[in-house]
Amino acid sequence: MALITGEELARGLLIGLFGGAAGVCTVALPGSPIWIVPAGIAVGGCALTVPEVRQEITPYLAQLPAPAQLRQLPAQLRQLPAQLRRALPAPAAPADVCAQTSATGRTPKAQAAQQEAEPAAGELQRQLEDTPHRLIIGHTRGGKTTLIHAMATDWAARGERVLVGDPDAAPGLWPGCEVRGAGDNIASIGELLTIVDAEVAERRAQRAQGVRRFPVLHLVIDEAQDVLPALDGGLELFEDVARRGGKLNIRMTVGVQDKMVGTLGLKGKSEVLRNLQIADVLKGRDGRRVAVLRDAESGKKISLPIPELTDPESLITTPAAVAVPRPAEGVTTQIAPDDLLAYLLAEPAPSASQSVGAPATETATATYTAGAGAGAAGVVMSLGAGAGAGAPGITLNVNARAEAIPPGRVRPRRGRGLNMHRRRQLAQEQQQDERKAELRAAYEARKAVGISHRKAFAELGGSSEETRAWWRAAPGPKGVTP
Amino acid sequence: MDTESRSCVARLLDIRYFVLAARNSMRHAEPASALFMLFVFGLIALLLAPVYITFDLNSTWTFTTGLRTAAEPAISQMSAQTESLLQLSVGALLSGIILTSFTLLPSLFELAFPTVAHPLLSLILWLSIIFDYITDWQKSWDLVGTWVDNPTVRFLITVPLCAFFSIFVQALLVISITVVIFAVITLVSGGKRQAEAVIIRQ
Repeated sequence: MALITGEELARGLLIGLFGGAAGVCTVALPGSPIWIVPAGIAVGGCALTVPEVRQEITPYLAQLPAPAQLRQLPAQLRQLPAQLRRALPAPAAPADVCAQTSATGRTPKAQAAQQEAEPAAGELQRQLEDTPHRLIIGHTRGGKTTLIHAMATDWAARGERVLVGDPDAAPGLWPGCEVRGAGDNIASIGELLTIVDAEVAERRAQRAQGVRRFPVLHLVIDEAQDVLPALDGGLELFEDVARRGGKLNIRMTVGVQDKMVGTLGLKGKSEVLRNLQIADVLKGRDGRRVAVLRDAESGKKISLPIPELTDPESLITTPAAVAVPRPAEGVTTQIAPDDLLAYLLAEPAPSASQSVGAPATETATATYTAGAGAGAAGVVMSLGAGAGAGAPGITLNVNARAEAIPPGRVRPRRGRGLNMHRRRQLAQEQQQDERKAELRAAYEARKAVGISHRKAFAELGGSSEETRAWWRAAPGPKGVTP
Repeated sequence: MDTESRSCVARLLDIRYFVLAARNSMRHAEPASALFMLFVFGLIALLLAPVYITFDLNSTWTFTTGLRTAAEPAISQMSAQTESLLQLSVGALLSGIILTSFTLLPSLFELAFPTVAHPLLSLILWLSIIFDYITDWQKSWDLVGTWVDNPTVRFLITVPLCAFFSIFVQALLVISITVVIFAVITLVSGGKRQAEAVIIRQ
């Protein structure tokens, strides 16, 4: 506990000095109202020591001109009549604005917005990192992944271990992070959770031995509403880490489209969300993105602007092997749906020894498109190497659309929502099938050792009809099928 | 606000905290201890009362009289108008009383509403404390003038002395009066014995 805070000291000095000065004024100049001046300074100073008042006044104080500007003011006022004698000054030429813009890459308005956002960005980061876990909510294209991406790459740049589960992951998207889930591979995110699960168990064991400090481990899951319910044990791990991960220095950042417990698969466990700092990423009235979150101290909702962050999509790298070549001049295009495979086998692909050192212009390039008409799904195949490609061989792009991909679009668009719903259903069905298979095996084992169906049912449970069907189909104690 | 997170000085000068503590302790005190506390704190209040009246109330009254004298023409006019309108002749007196009672605002508020806390209310109370400090300056200044002649030293001594008369004495008087009031209530209502009787009856 501090002996005295700066605010209290300032308050005491203000009352002592300026209150004393006011008192001296009343003694020295009786009847004069001059004492009000130091008294006012004392009162104003005391008002500024109240944090709430200071918080309200600070933005207005920041708008006041700087002392250097005030010193220049008399000179500017002297120059004013001379300027008034002349014609009104022309408005700033667009070239000037362009010059200002080009110097920093931003317009003055954007610069002002950026200057305003910079301290707020620090505040946003502080608020988000104040608690071990965060839930970032935002609709699609709302900026939630951008915010999560900025935080995760920042942690990775600091040398902290960051595990990312993102079904939309792509090469180069999460620099410095361990990523799973690219191409909607939910099972690989399950592997990621297994790693975290093992880490949790190991840290708990270490903690039981007296270890209290652990290196920070970040678990980042984007589109969690699609990922966590679809994974066996995913929600259990989420709950465990959310409730007790803080002691093990395991920090979780989860991106979802809404915080409904049903969406997250946490029905009846809404209290788990109290362990997470919930930030709602929204678009403000002025079009800028803001994060609405709850202040840890006051509990009030606060809105903090999100600064301009690097677009994660711009980091995606496209390897040459999967690049879809666009038809160019000199490239022959043939529609050969039936003869495609035959042609592919008949065409001698350039071997490594042939292609190395061979001039690119000598290698023929041909693109074959299979499909019924333009725009149909099919196979796009490239043989040889394009000019300057430097990588001769065969590039085969299955399931690509035959039309040219518009420039700037790197990845084909997918209908994720329905796919994920179906995927979740399939995963649940698969789990049910596995459970039934285990149950059936248990019934068969009971029957094999001569236990009655009644006893087995009392022990194992399950659907009465199904278990009777299994029982009838199972071999008897002597290996005889009834 | 959490008392544990504040500085030592803030906790020491938190009159509301002491008033609440006095209330709670006296509410559950036994009659004998309530009587003892009544006697001790009554004595403290009696000793402090002359100091408070001389250096705080009288001083403030003198100051407000000065203000009233300076604004006499306006007050007379206001009084005349009030007299003609409401048949009242107390306008001038009221203005002095209102200004004087303003200096009592922190004490009265802490005595009556110790649990109420608001940033703007704190600001008004600080305003009142500063006004009280300025009005009390004259007596303290005169007192120090009898000890030293150097104006700088006189100023430096008057600053803490005025704070003592204006803030500390008033705060101590408020706490003493709180204890006295609640000790009397405890004695009248039977104190802890009554609470025990209620428990036994239940």
